[in-house]
Amino acid sequence: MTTGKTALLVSVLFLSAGSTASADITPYSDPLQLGDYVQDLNGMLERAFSYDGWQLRSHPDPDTYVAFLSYKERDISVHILVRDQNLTLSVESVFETGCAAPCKDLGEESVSKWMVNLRRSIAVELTTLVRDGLQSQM
Amino acid sequence: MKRFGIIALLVCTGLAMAEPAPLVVDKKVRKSVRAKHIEAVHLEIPTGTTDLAKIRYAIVQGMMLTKGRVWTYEGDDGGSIRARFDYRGHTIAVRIEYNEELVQIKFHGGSEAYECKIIIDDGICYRNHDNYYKYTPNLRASIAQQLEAL
Repeated sequence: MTTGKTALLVSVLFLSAGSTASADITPYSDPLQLGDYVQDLNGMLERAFSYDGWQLRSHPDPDTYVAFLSYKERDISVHILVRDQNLTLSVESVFETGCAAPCKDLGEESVSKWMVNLRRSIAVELTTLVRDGLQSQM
Repeated sequence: MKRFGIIALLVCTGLAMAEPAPLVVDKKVRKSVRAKHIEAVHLEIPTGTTDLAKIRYAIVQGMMLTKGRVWTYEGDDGGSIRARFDYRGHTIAVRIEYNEELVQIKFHGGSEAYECKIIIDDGICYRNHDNYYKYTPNLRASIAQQLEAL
């Protein structure tokens, strides 16, 4: 290997080894790491959903939960996938329900706000469980 | 063989950087915010104990008791706990790195307005939105308080 190629390889390896500086953050799609802290997932989700009136519904897939919200002539359905101790949210559907006049366009921004708030509610409940779990390990 | 050794040493050095370390602010960095703002976020915190279980507890309890708004738990990567702050449509994500001696907050990511413009030493943010230097010090202060209370 020539000196120049060696220097290039060293630079790439060095920079890649230390380049944990900045990650891409999404509004609500980043997974939450549950670890071993959640014994009662249904209970955690129900507490989180109660913050903003979401309802927990079942799904045929055992790894998937459904959060449902009916708000201002919109029905919003969210999939919550729990796999390998990671929890991830995704929008399943947003339906208009019987607006007397044409419904205002909902827009991605409104949906994103709901999703961010839902994810945060779950994260707050998870944080409490993590704190309690760590306290019991002391 | 000699070149391989040099490469291996530098890779290991890079990997070892993801640990808390005494903060030394480089005042020569152009367009940096003031050193006091960087220190308010990234200054290391002595743990006062070598018990890692207690240190992790103090970090998460500190996140929950932060003045103003809770920082939420995202995950634990072994040696660092990821925390997130969602407020008014913006997001700040940090890594709270810890070992038996020190705890230190490092920038991990953020929504568009909160992306760190100048990042040095694996997570020390020298230039970000003003609110990064307003909200994140509250987290540092809360963790410091919990470590002291151990």
